[in-house]
Amino acid sequence: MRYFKKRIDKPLGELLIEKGLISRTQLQEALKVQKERGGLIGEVMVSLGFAKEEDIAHILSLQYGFPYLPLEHYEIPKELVKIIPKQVASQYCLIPIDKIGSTLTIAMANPLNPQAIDDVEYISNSDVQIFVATASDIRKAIERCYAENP
Amino acid sequence: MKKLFLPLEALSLKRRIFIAFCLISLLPLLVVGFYLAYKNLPSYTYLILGINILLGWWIIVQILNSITSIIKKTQENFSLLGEVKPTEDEVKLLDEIFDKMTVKVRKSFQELREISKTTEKLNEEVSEKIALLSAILQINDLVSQGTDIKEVFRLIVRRIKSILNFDLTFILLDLEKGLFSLEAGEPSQNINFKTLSKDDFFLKPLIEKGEVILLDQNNPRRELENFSKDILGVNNLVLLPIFLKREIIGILGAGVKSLEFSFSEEELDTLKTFSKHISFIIEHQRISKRIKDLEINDPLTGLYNAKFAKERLDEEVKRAIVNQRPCGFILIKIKNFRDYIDKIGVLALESVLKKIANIMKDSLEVGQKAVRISEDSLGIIAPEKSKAQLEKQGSELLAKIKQEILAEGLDLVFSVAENPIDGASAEELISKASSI
Repeated sequence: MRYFKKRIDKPLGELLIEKGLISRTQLQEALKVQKERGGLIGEVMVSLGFAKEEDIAHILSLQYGFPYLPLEHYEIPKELVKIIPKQVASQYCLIPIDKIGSTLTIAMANPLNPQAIDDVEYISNSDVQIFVATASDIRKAIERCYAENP
Repeated sequence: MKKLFLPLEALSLKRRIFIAFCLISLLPLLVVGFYLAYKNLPSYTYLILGINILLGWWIIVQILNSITSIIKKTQENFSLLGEVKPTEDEVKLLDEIFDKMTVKVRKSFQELREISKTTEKLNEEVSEKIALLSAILQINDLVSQGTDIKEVFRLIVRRIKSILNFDLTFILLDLEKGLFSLEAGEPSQNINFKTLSKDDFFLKPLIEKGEVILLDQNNPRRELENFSKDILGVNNLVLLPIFLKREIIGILGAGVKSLEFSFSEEELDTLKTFSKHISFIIEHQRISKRIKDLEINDPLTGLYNAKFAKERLDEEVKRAIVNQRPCGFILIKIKNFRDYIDKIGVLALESVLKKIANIMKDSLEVGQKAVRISEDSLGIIAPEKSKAQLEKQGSELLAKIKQEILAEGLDLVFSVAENPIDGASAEELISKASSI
C-alpha cells in the first residue's frame, strides 16, 4: 500500500472551510450526498456547485504536496496514451503526460488513490510521478487523446 | 347323554333301511327256509328272531322320527319366512318345500354369479387404482429426484397408455401465450403435430369453460373428427384441461382407435387424476426454480454460488467505477479436474473442495467474498484491490492451501482479473481470470 505524506494533516473538506471556500453546512450536505450516491468528496462538492475544480486541485496540491498542472494547453505525446488503456484512464480519472526513463508522469484528479497508482505502475512497469489536475481537464484530455488512439 | 346305537347313526339312511329290512324280512325268511328244510328249530331261535324283528322296527321308527323331525324343522323355517302354509299332507308339503328350495338355490346361484361378476369388476378397478397409485408414486419419486420434467411427462403418458389400455396419450403445455406445445406423446410416431392454437374452434369449450372434450360412440363431435381421425388416427378422443391456479396451462389428451367405444367414468376419473397431478408437478417445478433462484450458497462448500458471485461482482464493479476504485477477482482452479476425480473419487474430491473453501474463508479480508463459480473453480471477490495486491493475495492463498492440504496429485493454479484493467463487468473479469 502506498502512503502519502501529508503536509497538512486535515481532511479536504476542513481545508476548504478553512480557506473560506465552502461553509460547514455545505460540507455536511456534500458528505450526505456522497454517502447516498458515492463518488469523491471533491467531485461531489463541484457537482453541487459548492466549490470549483481548480480550488479542489489547489487544496490537494497544498495538502499533499503534489504539483498542480493545468492541462488545458498541455500537449500530451500521442505514444504515451498507449501505455494506459482508456478504460483505466477514465475510471481513475488520470492521463499520462510524460515519460523519462522508467518514470511515468501522470496527471490525476485524485492523487489519494493508491490502487490507481499501483495499477498504473503495474501496467506501465514504471515508477509513477504524480501531478494534480482538475477532473474536467483530465476528461477533456482523455477524450482528445484517446479519440485518436482508442 | 351317550346314545346307544351311535355307530348306526353314522350310517347313511339307505344303509339303515337296508339293515332294518334285513332284520324284519330277510332274517325271518331265512329262519322259515331253515325250518322248512329241517323241520326242526331250537327253541331260543324264536326268541332271537323276535328280538331281531323288534330291533328292525326300532331302526325304522328312528328313521321315520328323523324324517319327521326334518320335515317339521323345514316346515317351521319356511312358515317363518312365509313361504309355505302348514298342511297335514307332509309329502305334499315336503314336495312344495323342495320346489321352493330348488327355486331359492337357483336364485342364490344367480346372485352368487352376479356377486362374482361384481367382485371381478371391483378387482379390476382395484388393480387399476393400484396401478394408478403405483404410477403416481413412481412419478413423485422422479420429481423429488429432480429428474428433467420432460422425462417425467414421458413416463406419465406411457403409464396412462398402459393403465387404461389406450392407443394414444399426449400432454400439451401453454409455454407461449396462445399456443399449446407438445411436451410428451406416446407413441410419438403417431402424433403428427407440434402445437395447437388456443383459437382452434374445437378447443373452445375447454378454453372458455374448462370442460372435458369427448369424442366417442356416445358423444359425436364433427368439429373434432378432423383432428382426431386425420391427424391422430384415432376414432375416439378425450381432451382434459390442466389447470394451474384456475388457469388452463395445458391439455391432457388420450385416444382409442376402436370404432365402437365410449370412455367410461372410471377412465375419465383416472385421466382427471393424472391431469391434476401434472399441474402439481408443474407447480412444484416452478416453486423449486424459484427456491433455486433464491439460493445463494453452494451446497457442498458453503461458499456463495456462481449466480450470487456474478451478481455481487457486477455490483462491486459498478461501485468501483463510481468511486474510481479498482475491484478484483482471484480465481483458484483445480487443473485436470476430471482426471483428478477419476484418480481419487468423488467423495475424496468433495472433501478436498471443502478444505480449500475453509482455507479461503479464513483468509478473506474485510469486504471480500469467497465464491464457487464452477465445479473446478473457486474464487474471491476482492473490492478495492489493485492488480498487484490481488496477485500477492492469490499467491499467498495458493501457498497456504498447498501447505495445509497434502493431497497427492492435486494441481492448483490461481489467476487474477481486475477492473478496470481486465474488464468492466463480472462476466469479463471471470472470463479473463478463467482464460489465464
